[in-house]
Amino acid sequence: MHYLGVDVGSVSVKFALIDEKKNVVDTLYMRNHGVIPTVKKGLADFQAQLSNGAKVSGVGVTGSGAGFSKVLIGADVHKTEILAHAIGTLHFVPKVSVIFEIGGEDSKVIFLRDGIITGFEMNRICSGGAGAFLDSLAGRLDIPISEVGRLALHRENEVNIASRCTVFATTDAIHKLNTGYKLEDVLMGVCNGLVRNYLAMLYRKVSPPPYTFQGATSKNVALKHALEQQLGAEVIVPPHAPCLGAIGAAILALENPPQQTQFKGFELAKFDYHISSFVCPDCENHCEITQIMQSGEPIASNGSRCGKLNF
Amino acid sequence: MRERVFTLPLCGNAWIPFKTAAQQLGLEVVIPPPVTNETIALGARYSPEGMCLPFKINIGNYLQALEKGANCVVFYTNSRAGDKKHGGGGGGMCRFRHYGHLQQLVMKKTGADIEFFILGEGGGLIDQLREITGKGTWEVIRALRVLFKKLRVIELLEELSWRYRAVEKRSGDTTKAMNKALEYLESVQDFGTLDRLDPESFFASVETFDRQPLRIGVVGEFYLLVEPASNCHVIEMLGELGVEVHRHLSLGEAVLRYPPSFILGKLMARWLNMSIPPRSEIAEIARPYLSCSVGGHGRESVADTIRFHDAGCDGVLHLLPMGCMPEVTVRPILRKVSEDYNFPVLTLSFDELISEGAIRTRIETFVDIIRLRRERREERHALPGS
Repeated sequence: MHYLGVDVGSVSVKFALIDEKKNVVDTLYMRNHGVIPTVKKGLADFQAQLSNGAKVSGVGVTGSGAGFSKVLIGADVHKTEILAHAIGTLHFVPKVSVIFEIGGEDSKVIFLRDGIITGFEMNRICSGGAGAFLDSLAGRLDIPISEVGRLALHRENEVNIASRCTVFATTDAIHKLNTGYKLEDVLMGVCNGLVRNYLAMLYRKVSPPPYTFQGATSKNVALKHALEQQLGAEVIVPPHAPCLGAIGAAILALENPPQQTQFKGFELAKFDYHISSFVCPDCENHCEITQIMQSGEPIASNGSRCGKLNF
Repeated sequence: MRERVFTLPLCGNAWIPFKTAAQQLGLEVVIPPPVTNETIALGARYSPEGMCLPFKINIGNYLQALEKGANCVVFYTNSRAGDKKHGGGGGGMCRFRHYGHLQQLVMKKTGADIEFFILGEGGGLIDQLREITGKGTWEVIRALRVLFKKLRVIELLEELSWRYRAVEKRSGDTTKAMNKALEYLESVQDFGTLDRLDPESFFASVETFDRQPLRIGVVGEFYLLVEPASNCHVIEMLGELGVEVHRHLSLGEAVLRYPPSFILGKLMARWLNMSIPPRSEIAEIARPYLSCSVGGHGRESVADTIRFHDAGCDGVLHLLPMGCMPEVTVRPILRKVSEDYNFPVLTLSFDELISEGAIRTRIETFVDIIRLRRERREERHALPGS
């Protein structure tokens, strides 16, 4: 009995497999290069990594691309990323009081008390406190994103980067480099600025520790350092931190087990998927209807405000 | 003189009673097409950038109605609520007080040839209507009577539909029943028929589950409460997630709280057949958190959050247009109420750039949270001796 969780985010897709005792069997983290090829490849790779005999009895999906992936993979449970992250984290840190999650394009803070979510904040109109910014800056400076944290910790000077807006922050970072600051100093300044922006936007209610920090950005040691310094407290990075959303989704599938799983199997490659879309002309809402075609047949359709074209 | 063709800003289903009354008074009317993203984008293009969302939607409505042949706008406002005697500068009102005049200016800038009638200004509603229509006092009152009665029936239908949607067996049944009911109501002309209607009978065809759904109270700025397109249809969204929704304020109630004149207020209360808690009671409930009026329905939002808690709701959803001064003031207060009462409150703020996906994520999570809370509570009660 195994349960699969898939977290389809804007920047990456995460997979996790757990057994019926909630032990994590395996996880996989992939960059999102278009949801169809990524999910297909991810599932194939995942199967290759697994020892034989893993039978999937339920699948949970979460993340911004979950609605679509649910149909693609054949998932049984679909929950929001906030709930999935909280459930995944509670499994490893049952006493957690605040979860700091910095994802690619969204970032959130989740408040808990006695293992129950009491509230959450999520960035709304600005991705200033999210990871995609570091990613694009690293790309511009031609350093691998995985190296940013390690490099930044070797800073010699404190640099203040104007970080309210990420576009201007990039400008400011380049400007600082041009005035002669070392790359390491600037990277740390950017990490500090990102965390400052994140906390200012989302963490306006102060709660006592324990704190956890997760999402793919938690692999960045400089961000963790900046977060601890600005909070003035220790921050736990739980095991499998980048994949906790997927683990949470798997746990949710385990806790709400389907009678018969919808899972289409790891070999999605045998199906041919594509998307077709059209504008419904029937009323003034002009809904854009998106249909998922599996080998030429529509298997799901959404986007219709009145609901008549959704299935 | 050209023939006047009237239109109005959309506000939920309120156009239905308006249309009936206007026809009874012999006015020609054009109803703007339903609010869509296009309407909002159109309104936002011509409105001042920092203006609240309802204003922008109104402008979008006018421009779209103009295309369909309208050349006059009737706008109902309530300057009486803003004067010294009734709460002092802004007691009960906010920027809304200036909507009529500002919209007139904005429409002028678009180059539209459009005439504005700002009803309710100065309290002379009946005189104004007599002047516009050329009809007598009695006819105007008769039309108003049908208008308010119909408005009330529609509001009751809406509230019922939120109850049914949470427990419907076949998804979509309630919406179908509701649309049918509205279609029928559009044609009803006389007060007596409206008075005898049993709103519940329209939902007889909806099969329901016998279960206790989650209940959420909705508080906040009143336009967002009554116009579904302005709030990404959150109330329907909640219903589909199996949540029964209660609102703290309907359009009828909002008008009744600050009636255009004392006598009309008395008459309206009879036509609407509803009693509203007196202002002093609202103030008393809100007092531990907010001891003065902050304009708009800010004080009501605080008091009603507490009232929803006391009535056994599972949570409160607080809706506001971005930059709405009264509700922005109330927002941190509601956070405090939420902590003190250990009662979930979710605030959602809307503007023309909001994405429905972002709202859906928050709503779904909020519903999951309160559902888990309720399950926990039931488990605890089930344990002996705890």
